[in-house]
Amino acid sequence: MKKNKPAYSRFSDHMQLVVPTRSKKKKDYFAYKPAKGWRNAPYDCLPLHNPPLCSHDEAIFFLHMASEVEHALMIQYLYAAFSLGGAQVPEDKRELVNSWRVKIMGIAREEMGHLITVQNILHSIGGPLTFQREDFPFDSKLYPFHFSLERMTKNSLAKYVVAEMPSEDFLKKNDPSLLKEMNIIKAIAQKGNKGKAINRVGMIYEKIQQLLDGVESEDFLKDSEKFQSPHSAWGTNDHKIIIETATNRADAKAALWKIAEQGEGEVISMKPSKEESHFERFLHIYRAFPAAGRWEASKHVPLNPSTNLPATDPDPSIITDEQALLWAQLSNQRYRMILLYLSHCLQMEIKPASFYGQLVSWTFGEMYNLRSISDILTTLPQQKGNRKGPRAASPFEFPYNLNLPAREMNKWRAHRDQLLNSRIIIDELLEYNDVAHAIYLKALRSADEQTLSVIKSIINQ
Amino acid sequence: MKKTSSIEPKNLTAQLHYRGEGNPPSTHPSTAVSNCYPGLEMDFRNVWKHVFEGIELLEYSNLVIGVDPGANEKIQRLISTGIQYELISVDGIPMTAPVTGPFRHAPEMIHDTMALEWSNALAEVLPKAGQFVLCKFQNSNNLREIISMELKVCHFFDVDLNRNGKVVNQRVVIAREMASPGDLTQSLCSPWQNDYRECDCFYWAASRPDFVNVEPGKDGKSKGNNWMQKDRTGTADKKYISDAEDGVRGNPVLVSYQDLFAAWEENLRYIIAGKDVPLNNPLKKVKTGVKKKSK
Amino acid sequence: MAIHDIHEIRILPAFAIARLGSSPEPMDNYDWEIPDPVGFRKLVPADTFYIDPKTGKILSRKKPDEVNFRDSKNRIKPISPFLEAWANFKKNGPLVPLTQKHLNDLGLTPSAIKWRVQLGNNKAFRRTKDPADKILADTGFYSDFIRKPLLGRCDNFLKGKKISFGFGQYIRPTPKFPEIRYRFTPARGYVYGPAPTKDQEKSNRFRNVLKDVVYDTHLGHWKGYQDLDSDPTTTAPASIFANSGSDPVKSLGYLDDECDGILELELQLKTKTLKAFARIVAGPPTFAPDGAPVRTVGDELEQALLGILLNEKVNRADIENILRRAMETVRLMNTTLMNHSVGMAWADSSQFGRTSQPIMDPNVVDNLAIVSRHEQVLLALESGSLAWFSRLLRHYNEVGDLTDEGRRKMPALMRGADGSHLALTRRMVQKILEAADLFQQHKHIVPGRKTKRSQ
Repeated sequence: MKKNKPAYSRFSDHMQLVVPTRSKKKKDYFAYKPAKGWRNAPYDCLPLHNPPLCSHDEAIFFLHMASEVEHALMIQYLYAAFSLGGAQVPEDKRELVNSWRVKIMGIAREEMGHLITVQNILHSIGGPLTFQREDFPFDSKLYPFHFSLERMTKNSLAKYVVAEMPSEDFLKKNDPSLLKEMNIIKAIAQKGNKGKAINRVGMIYEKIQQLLDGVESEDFLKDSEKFQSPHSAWGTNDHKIIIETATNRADAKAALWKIAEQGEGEVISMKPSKEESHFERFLHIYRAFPAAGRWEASKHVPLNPSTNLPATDPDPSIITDEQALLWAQLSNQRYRMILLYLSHCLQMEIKPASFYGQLVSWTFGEMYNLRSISDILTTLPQQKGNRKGPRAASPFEFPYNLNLPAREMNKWRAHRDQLLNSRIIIDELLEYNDVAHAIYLKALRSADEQTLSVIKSIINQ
Repeated sequence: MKKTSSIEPKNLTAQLHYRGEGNPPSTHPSTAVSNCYPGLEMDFRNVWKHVFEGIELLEYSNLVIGVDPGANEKIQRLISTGIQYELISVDGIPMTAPVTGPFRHAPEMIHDTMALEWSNALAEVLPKAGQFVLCKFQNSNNLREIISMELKVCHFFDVDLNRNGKVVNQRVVIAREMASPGDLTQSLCSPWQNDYRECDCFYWAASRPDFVNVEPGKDGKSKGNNWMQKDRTGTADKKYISDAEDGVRGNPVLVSYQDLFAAWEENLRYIIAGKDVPLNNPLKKVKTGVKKKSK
Repeated sequence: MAIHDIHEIRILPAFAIARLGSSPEPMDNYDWEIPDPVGFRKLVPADTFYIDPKTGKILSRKKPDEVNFRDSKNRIKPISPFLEAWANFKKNGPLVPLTQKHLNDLGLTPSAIKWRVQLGNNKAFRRTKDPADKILADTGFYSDFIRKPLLGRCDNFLKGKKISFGFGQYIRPTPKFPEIRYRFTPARGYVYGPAPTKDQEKSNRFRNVLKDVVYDTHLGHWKGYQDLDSDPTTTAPASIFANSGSDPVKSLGYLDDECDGILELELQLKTKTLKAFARIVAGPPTFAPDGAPVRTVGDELEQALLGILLNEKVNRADIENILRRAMETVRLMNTTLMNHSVGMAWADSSQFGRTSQPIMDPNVVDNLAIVSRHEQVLLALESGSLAWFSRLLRHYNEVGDLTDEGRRKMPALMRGADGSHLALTRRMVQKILEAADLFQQHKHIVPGRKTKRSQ
């Protein structure tokens, strides 16, 4: 998304803000009167689709929003984690910074688990899946904050802390001193979000749980289980990754509650010995993170890096170094591949005699590739001719298209095309005599060839 | 291949890794399996039986099965009473591990501990070679009865000692006392071909392949052949046929015990890059850069 | 420069493995190359000694045109290792290959070196516990250059019968190849046993199996031997000998020509006698010679020698080596089958009474998917990161953890020497954890020496 264009949101385009009534009955919670405009609406306003949708469709609408928000958060957290570390970190702080990176990458992995769980719930009510990413509905009362790929700073951390925080009511009852601290952090976060308040991610899940009450029981599909991804296929033995399946309302709500709980930890005690929520982890890092002007925990990577060729005005976040640009394009390509593998396997019936396992394996492979390429990019200059300037970074630009063909065999053609796309970029990079990590590139190319031969043999059968 | 022309006597790592001129990789211990149950080239578990002076341990569990005739009375007691004693700890280091998991039997029928394999269990003990360590033995029928005694840890590698018992020179060959001729292979299958046919484990696949000629199937399942299948010609539909689940190794499609005893060389194929190497066809010629003289 | 004394002699390699084969041609030397970090190793011809069997001289050293494990009649060429005498000439002096010239400097000839080979096959003895069932070969000390038959004798054999364990040969040093070396050539992989019964003689099943009838069933009880449940000292696994297939399992009394033992060297100088020894083993061929097992005797020896902790920084070549071996093992395993009804899935249930369940999620355990996961770990290593493998390693004392989570740790689906789930050596685990730590801190990991011999 180019910075010059006005922010556009598919979701905010379809939503209106409403003010809830004060009725205590759950059903009456949906009774509303329209709020007057977006910008001046009170904090506790709730959005609904405009015009109102039937419960089933409204639930799908918000599940899509949840998925796309989780996706956006995951990418932002990853970018922030990849920015941590570097030669500028003082020697005695390196282990600490590394532990932050490990923690935040763990959070990003858990967000992936949330994303998959949401797809499972969509399966459970017979809704279409989504792998889109909603970047700019910052005017929505549901979206946490303006999408921003930025190096980790105290200010950017503040946004993450606030986005994952429990409700104010919870903090008032359980930890008033923390609420006080959070008000200060909120103010900092709002400043870093162009003056807009940061919204709690948990609100979306609260909303969906309520909406599921309105979905008819017969719309919870028992046979959808064979399409829902189990933890055992994705969890890599990591019990912190939540991937839940559901074939009834109670299970679906419980799954959503678990996701929200992992984020906010309203039930999780604040004691350090317990499993930390995302909120707690971000908060602990925030408290220890150096303020501006002290030592630096993160590399100077660009704000919202982009591979788009510069327009008439040079944009400081455009990657102009030739090799870095190719690596960034490779990174975009591998990101596209993850999304397509994910889309394919999450939509197929899961059985041993299927390609599900292979697709899961390739998805994991691309995650490792993305991490590898991101690390390589942060060693390269962003700007042509400016080796001492800011480093490049993975742009995570969204592909032009994420649709897979309808016919199964053509889905494999789509995967084949991605590998061929990747080969074009790798071959271009290998033309440079001094290309960084030539061995990795050759190994990646070779691994791609093996994947390609598997895919070709599938297509040719 | 660069020739090694000298090695410092204290550079034991280099001596351990040295392969020898003219020797291919498969002559080196780094190509011999060591997760032995019982093993292929040797049952390396046998090398630990005599690690403690005066006693002999079973190679695969912590049971004491023998004592030296000249050992003291306390050591003799480990065998002489007819009670079976198991070595449970050495200098506080456990020689066992807990067994946990969902079980299908009642708890009283479950063995909740197991003996660790010696190599890892003794890894912290071997550096104490020449010293006495506190060994605890448990009566296997009465777990409350524990006998403790100090036993000397033998030197695992061949060493020279001074008068004070201090090591003044060490080599990388396993000490004679650890194993006599015939000891390292004694608990393998007899004949070795038996193992190739009946082992259900198949995880020494790097030496004894299992799943070969593998390619993706139409339905998403890999398809390939069992290395034990007689017919795996290129045109045959790739199926993996096994009688491992049957309990009886009699499927005529698979190489039989007799085939292996009588003609193992014909019935076992080399596998390169995951695929059968056809008989009578050498591997693709590799150019060595050596020019032949023109005739 | 002339030497005046030999301080110490060692035989290197200290542990050599020979591999059976019936061809009269020994296998040529070859090396491994790794052209593709995630692909297969390549076998390339390497410098090979060609020996005159009659004189024991090295006729030439050259690279063959190709790597071929069989001769023109499809017989497998035995792997016949050379063992070298290394010496130093003063205390703590560097060890160098001992040569004819060194001996000449001391007024000696190569015949001053005496060799002795002692080999044993105690497979029958291990079961019967009858010392008369031990099969032992002993050349005594000798110093000529002829091929020395290594004949295994047994008190329970028929009169005059022996089993050949192959032959040894002191290689005659020459000006061109002056080093002192010995070559062990293993046996041909025959099966021996007792005289067949009349029924067995008629049966197809027993025809042509035995190379020779050697065992005297009047003297020994190897034939008919049975592992008893009441005997806690049977082998593990038990009853792993040729048998008739019926219950109870009784031995047919078969024997093979595998063996293990010691090669010794003795050199008498004026004022002292120098001795050295090495260990030799004869086993079956490696039928997938472009790979190596995930845990090897080399790993055990390294841990026994150097301990669990690393004295120097871990190097990438070591990590790559371990990961590559894991990949090479799973590549040739039917992981789908081993996930549920055979292998560890079966062993957990039968041995420990665990509820019978698949180990990994059956939907993701297909061979190509598992291999792909391992290739990705190797690929990630190339860029300086260590993916999931380090997080999922099974520690040595977790081998009894038969929960779902425990069984899915790495290496998965494989059996260790204790009969439970495999753990790598503690030293190997330490290397991987330290490397993962260094990568996470973006610290440089020492590349390690990569040579054609990298394993």
